[in-house]
Amino acid sequence: MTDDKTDVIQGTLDMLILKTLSLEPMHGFGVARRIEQITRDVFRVNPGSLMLAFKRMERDGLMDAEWRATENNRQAKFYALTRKGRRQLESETRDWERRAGAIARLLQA
Amino acid sequence: MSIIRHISAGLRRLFRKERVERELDHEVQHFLEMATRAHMERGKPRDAALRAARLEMGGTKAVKEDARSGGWEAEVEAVVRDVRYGARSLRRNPSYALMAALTLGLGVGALTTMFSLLNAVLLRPPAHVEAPERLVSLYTSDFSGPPMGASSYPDFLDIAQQGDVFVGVMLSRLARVTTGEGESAEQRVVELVSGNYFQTLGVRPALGRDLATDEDRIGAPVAVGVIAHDLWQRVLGGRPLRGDETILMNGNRFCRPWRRACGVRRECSRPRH
Repeated sequence: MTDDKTDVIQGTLDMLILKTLSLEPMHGFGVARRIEQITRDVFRVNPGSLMLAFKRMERDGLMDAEWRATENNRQAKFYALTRKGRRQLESETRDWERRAGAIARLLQA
Repeated sequence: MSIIRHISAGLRRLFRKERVERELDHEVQHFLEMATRAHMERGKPRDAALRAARLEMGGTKAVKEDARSGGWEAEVEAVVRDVRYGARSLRRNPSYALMAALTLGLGVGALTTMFSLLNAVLLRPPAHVEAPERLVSLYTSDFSGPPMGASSYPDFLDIAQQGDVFVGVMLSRLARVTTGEGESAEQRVVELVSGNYFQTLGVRPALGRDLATDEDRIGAPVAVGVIAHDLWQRVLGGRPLRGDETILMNGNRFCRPWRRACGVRRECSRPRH
């Protein structure tokens, strides 16, 4: 692994988790791994923040959790998006695009 | 829906703590294991891989602590922990605990006293008064003295004569007197009032008679007093004054009002202070 990873941009972890889970239900490490892979190791996900985010979003009804066997035949907690979670992902994506677009315009000015 | 989820998840954590902890433990362990495996896949030996995974995680304890920190039940747990810690330190240091309890007790006591006083004097309408919402205090002052200074008797007469503003105007002034004599002497606070005092307030005495409006004049043949209910209960046990009994106030004897023979001189009722 390279060492030039940075922490996830503040306030975007929820969106990244939601997006990752929208691909398929996953356990905690799977989500962290997927985020790092897709962002080509730009972002490093802090496990503590990840767990906390899972607990919070589960309570907010954005995701459901269930214990399932992994491909290695181990029990792991899998998280899956709920319908509310999908809606939340859409609104967060829109919001992010709006903000990222604004910053991009500012930097190009 | 969401609020029910929040509450039930919190309750689950508070009351099925072991199980929730076990699950969290399992989840974190699984995370660590998978991270280790990922390092091994990149060619590290198991020991080094585990170390690297731990390092990245920043310790399983810290992760679990983070995961526990969300939700309302974390606040509840923090309060319970604080209370326990407080109780433990108080037990370890009983003299300090005693001092703290005393200080708190005194503080609360003082505050309660102040509040009941305030409540009785300022907040609650005066008891037994017929129309407390229409009762006002009048002060006249030329501002040479305190802003709520006493009014002069001529001012009182002027105000009382302007009958279109007030239904009734009466005078009152606090004074200290001594009742009884010798060892039974006690200092009390009385109000020196105009004859229409009770009539204006709409208060009727439980026993005996009211003051008469002309009894406040200079040269009135007798001085008249009305004692408060609690003093009546305390001194006489709530019974009428017997014919030969008197209440001594500033050296002057008050007797049953309808027995003029008692003959208290007018100036006798004036407290000397």
